Amino acid sequence: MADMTPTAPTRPRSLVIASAFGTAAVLAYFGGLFGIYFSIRADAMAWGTRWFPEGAIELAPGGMNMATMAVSAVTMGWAVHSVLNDDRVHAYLAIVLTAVMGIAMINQTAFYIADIGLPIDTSQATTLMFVIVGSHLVMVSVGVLWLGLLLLRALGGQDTSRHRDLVSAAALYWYAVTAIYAVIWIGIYIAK
Amino acid sequence: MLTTGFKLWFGLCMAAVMAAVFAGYTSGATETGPISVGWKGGIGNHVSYVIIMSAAAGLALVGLIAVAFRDADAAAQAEVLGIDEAPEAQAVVGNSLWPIFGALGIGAMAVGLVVHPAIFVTGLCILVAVGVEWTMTNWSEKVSGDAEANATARENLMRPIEIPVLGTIGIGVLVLAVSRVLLTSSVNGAVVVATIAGLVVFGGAMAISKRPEMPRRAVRGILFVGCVAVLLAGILSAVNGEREFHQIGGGASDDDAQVETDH
Amino acid sequence: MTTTDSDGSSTAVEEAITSTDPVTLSKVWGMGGMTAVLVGLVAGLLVSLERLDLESAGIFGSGDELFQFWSAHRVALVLLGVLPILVALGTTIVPKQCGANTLLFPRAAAFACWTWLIGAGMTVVGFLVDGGLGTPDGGGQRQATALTLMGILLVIGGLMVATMCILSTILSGRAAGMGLGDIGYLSWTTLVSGTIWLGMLPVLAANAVLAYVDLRGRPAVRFGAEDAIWEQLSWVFTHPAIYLLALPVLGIALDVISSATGSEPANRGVLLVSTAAFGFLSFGAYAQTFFDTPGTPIMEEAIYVLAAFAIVPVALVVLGGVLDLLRRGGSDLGSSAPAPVALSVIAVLLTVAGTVLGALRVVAPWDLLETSVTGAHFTLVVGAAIIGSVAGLSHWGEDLLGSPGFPGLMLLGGLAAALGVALIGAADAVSGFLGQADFTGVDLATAGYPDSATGALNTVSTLGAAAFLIAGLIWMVGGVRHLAADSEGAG
Repeated sequence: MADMTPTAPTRPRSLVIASAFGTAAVLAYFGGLFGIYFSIRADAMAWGTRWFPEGAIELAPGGMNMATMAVSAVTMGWAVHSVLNDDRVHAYLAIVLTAVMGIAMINQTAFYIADIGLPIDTSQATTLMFVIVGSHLVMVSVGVLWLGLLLLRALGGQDTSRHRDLVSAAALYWYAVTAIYAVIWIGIYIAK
Repeated sequence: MLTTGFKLWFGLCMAAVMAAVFAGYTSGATETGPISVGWKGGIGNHVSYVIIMSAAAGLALVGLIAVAFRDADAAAQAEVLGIDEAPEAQAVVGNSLWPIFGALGIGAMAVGLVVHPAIFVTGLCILVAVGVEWTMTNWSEKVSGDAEANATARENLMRPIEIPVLGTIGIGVLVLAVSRVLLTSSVNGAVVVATIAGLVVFGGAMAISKRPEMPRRAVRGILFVGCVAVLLAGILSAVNGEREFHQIGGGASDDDAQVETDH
Repeated sequence: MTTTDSDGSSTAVEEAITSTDPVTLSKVWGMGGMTAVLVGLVAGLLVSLERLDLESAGIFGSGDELFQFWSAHRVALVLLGVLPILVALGTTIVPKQCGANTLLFPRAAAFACWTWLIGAGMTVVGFLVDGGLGTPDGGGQRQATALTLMGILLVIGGLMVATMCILSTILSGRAAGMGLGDIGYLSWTTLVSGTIWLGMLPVLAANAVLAYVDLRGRPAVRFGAEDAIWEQLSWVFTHPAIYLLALPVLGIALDVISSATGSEPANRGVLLVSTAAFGFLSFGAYAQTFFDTPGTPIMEEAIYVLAAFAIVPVALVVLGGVLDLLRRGGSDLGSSAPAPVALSVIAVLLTVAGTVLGALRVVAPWDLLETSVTGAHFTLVVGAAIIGSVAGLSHWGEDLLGSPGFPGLMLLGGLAAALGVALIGAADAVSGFLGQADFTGVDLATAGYPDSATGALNTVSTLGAAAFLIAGLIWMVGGVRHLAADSEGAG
């Protein structure tokens, strides 16, 4: 490959900008769901109705997931830093770790949802909770898939400071995944 | 200096925040609820407040990206690359199968969510496969500045994966489809179907081999029509169900002898 | 398996479905959108005909069936019709205006296009097999309703990905030396409206997901109930969200007239700010009546009423810019204005009329929110968007298809459409003031005030719907002939 024609450069901001627009759209999606959730919850509280059945929502699983996502945001930042410094080994490690955190979060949530045994059609509260948590799981899954594809390109030698937009775009999305989970953690798991 | 993009998006963000606060106070908010995002007091109409605030968050994000990248002006991007003139906005890519297959995959997932989980899983598999292929196509385009060398690099990497995987899937699907047809047919009918199908395949292959000058497009067309016909026959047979099988002797037994009856 | 078929043996169909060329994608968006507009206009005419004689219910067997067509009319015009046509212009014209060599992320743009097309097909099938977006009496097929919701989700997904490609092109693909404030008006208004679409369409998706999840496989808790689905999604088909369809049309009008008269607007900065304000006031995702809590009906809240009134002066400022252009460069137009100019001016006037009617609609003492004034408002704004989009397609026909097309046919269709929109808008607005309901149902009891003088007005409205449909047919003929001429040229 040494005597190949060098690649023509591409504009380095395009992918991150597209990711920013996509992330803003994701924020709007969850904004819609949160608006509905908090509205109906406030109404139920005002009427003195119980929102979730007693003991159905526990703090520990949500807290563990929040911790997992917080750590994954740090490892994502590590990946960005490694790519910017052309440190490929650390970049591989950080990307894999972030993806593993995402998979762990999916696993924990799936276990918890199965464990509480709360049917989705119990009430408006459970329907909304399942839709919000389910949507977030989809979002995490998309992020994990994205990281997997990023890893493929990294293994192909393209996650370098020259192509920093690849990892920066994914990182922007992943930070939004974490931020949205923080709202879920506070709004659903803590406030119940 | 603040860029035009920042002024647009951050201006819209500020307007959205003010609108949310206004919406809150005019719909029954209490104390400092709307200005403290509900920390101290009520926010009024939750739906309007939260949705407008979420939009403001998205606008702030885009505004910050715009100012950080200097509106992604061509000159600013050239500066990042350390060159005098920014490259073309987008390298022209050729035709691609991945967009249409990706759309079909996502369409299959949507239909599967309504009709049957198996279709959903099929769509998901297509989507993941397209994701990998799409990524590797993008990767190959950055290998060098020579399109031909890039295509070769891609084929060298992906062909050893694609051919066995697609071959296995293709054979599996065809075997499954033909088995459905044979299981739906009567006992004697299955023999007839298998004989006719074998003769058609054998005869067709003979005919094609006798005419090496036959255009590739025609061969592709024949194969495509044949595969679709087998698949359709398999699907229709699966819908119709298998013929009846009866255990000899009945009761619990590890003897798997059975008789078959036509239906 | 190379992705670029270089052996030259691929068929025309293979070329079309694998193409990432923005012009090819624009043809799919444009023709798909125009077909959906036509479908929507047919549904609108049938509903209008049914409304003429509510006692015999001659066309539809039940209120549910009528409701399915009534809602299909709005879905087809907005999500399957106008938005895709605007995307068609954004895909091809916006990169040119920005000096980009092509659209950014062409494969993603192709993916968006096909996803939208598949979703549009599913949506139409869903409506046709007794589904749609729920029915008042719960008489539809649940499976088909789920299919419609899934189709709409794909449509939203396709539109959003396409919008991201266009916005990224405007921001990151501009030519050297071109600032974001220097881009064409179509690009600017697309930038603003695209940003707001990306804020609104995901909320619509959230509504659809919630309804779908609750609908599937068990008795619905609330959101998936047949009689509740439409109301959750209806905010996107009314004030203020529908103004967003008219925003790029204002940009088209400014570009078209500026190009025809050879003069630039004197107050560009004011126009950029006012179009941005128009976009902001069009954000309508918050106006969800379904989630009204006791004491806070959103349509009577200050923000909703204020937005309805605030958008009128903003629209008037843009109209002022258009009139200023015509005043300063009108002499260059000659005795007869080119078709795109005439259509653009009509579109802007209808938009302003729509904003005025929208403001009147929210005046509380008149109690017009549930009346046919809502339908009239929808027709005026969406009609303006359709006519303006056709003006854009006609103006940039050469960029899209290599030849100017048939401006005479486009103008003829535009005049018929303007007549139709005016008739529907005026008649339904007056009927609304007389108390006729927006969705009349199939019997007199649900129609509002059956003894009032709405019979004659409904006849006028039906004539308007017929004229609008004729306009759609004329445009379709013009579009198909243009495409055919393009294919022959290419051959």
